[in-house]
Amino acid sequence: MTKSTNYIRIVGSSFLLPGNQCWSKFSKFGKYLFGEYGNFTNHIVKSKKNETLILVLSISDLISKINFSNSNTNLIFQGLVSQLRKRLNNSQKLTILALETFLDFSVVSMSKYRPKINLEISKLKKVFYQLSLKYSNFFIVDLDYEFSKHGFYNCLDQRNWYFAHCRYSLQGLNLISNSLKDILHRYYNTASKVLVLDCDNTLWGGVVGEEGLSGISLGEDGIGQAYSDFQTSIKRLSNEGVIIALSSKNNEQDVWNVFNKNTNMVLKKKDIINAKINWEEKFINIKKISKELSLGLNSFVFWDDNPIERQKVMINCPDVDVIDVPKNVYEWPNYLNRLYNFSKFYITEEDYKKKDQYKARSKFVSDQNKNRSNLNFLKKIKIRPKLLKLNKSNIKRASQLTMKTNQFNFRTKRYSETDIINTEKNKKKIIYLLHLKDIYADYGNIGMVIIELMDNNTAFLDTFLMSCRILGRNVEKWFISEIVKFCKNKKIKNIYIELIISCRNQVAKNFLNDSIFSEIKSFDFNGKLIKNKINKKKIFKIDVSKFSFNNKKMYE
Amino acid sequence: MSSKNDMIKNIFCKFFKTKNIKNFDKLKMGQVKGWDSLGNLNFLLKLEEKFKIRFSIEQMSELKSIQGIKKVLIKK
Repeated sequence: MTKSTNYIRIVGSSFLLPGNQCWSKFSKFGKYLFGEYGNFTNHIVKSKKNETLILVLSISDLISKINFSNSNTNLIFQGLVSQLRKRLNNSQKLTILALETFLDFSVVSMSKYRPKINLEISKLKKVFYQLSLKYSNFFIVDLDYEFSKHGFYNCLDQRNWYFAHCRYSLQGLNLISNSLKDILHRYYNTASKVLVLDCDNTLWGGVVGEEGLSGISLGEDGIGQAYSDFQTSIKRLSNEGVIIALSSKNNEQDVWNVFNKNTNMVLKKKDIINAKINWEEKFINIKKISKELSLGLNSFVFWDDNPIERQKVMINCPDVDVIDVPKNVYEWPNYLNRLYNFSKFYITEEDYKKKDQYKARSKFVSDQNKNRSNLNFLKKIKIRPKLLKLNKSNIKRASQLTMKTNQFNFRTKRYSETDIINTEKNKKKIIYLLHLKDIYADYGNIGMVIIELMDNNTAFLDTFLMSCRILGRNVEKWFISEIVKFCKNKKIKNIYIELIISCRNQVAKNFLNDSIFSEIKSFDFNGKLIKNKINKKKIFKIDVSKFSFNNKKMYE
Repeated sequence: MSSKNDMIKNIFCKFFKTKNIKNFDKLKMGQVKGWDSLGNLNFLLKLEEKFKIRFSIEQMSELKSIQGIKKVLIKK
């Protein structure tokens, strides 16, 4: 129940200057320590199972300086790969390899004679990438790619090498630590979900209300092309599951005229999941969008060319990530492509479906508001939930649900894929996923429970969560009734639920107001007393024998 | 010149997390917690970054006192 310390071991093939301020940012991910400099491969062997391992490897530290490509080099490469494999087989913890393979030779020798070693290095890189595909907890930071953006000569430092056996300049060390920080941060935190855009001078050049449909700049050559390319980058994000919304001070019809009539528009009206086109303040509109989509403001990113509008959103919606957009529009497409907020390790099947699902959510909310009787409305829309056992095909989604769900999540306990696999091995922990469809959409797997069987009489909900985009259908009640049914079959008498209060799980807290839950002061969790703590946690109990659920037929 | 002096002191205090240093100009490596050879190297790199200068490899090995550092920085 208590959060154990995450240990991070950082090992370099050259000296990494422990104590340098560039590493201090790692403290937010756990306790970090540096492997003693020297014998890089040995450190991989000695790394502990329960430590996150970060390897910073410069290929120059591995190969012979006189004859670059020889059988010895091959042996060293094979030895390294074999040790890495052992580590990955032994440890479920995160392993990150930051790799730099720069060789400083003349263009002439690299054109014919030297490529032999480059071939060896490419083969080695290929093996590393194959390992990263095989092991979900292994990640590669390609320092060649990162350093090339800033220039190798700026990132490597011969003086530091001869003075302290550190191959990198301060700039190089900063780039390494920032790249590693980005990987760690994304491993533990989800990407942003919604991109809110302005229209005039953002999606196109000019003000449509003043210059008219034909007066705006979009497509063709010059700056108009930059706006088109920016829209292409937005469209790519939309296809990958980012929700695109508009917040524009405009006459609504003028904006939709551009969408419908301008043939250079890359974005189409169907790509826009929610639009607030009016003369209200943008921060008010953003709050409304957040409510309608049931997504917290901290999953929002706002992009507007106007610094005053950006400032207002920053002040009034401090959770929204307001992008300090580059001054020149021609820099926008690439800037958006490399924006960290939306970058993810994987794009899952669920991500591809997300756009349609949020559209369905908007339609659901609007239809629900039109119907006087909520119960009759819910009966009409043929809600079909079902529980699924964990299997190979849904492990990734299970982990993603624990990582992404905040609002209807009782303990906000995050599970990596390897954590899920390990939990499943524990016979006392049973994992179910909740799948849902109705007349609006097939939402896929949108909920998850981990039931921990404590003894013959009691069970504890280690995890109980549902994606907020399907709330409002009373499926949460059906879900808990299925959990109770499962426990009843196991002769369980009481189910304990712990609510760890976060700043975002008010929805979960509200659900516990239902009479099926009774708040208790404490319970015995495998010999440890778990107590209520004001403003931090609440404990609830379901008496299985007294539980009833009246509207079950509605979901069949 | 005094602004450069102040800047060195501020960077030093922030870097080694110390306050109220007496006789700052007479300080040498080893007299402040964390100012060992590795701390010294990281501190010199910080000074390079802040003053946009580059020490030679000889200076990197020789500069182990505030007086020595000031001499080089103020000259540059």
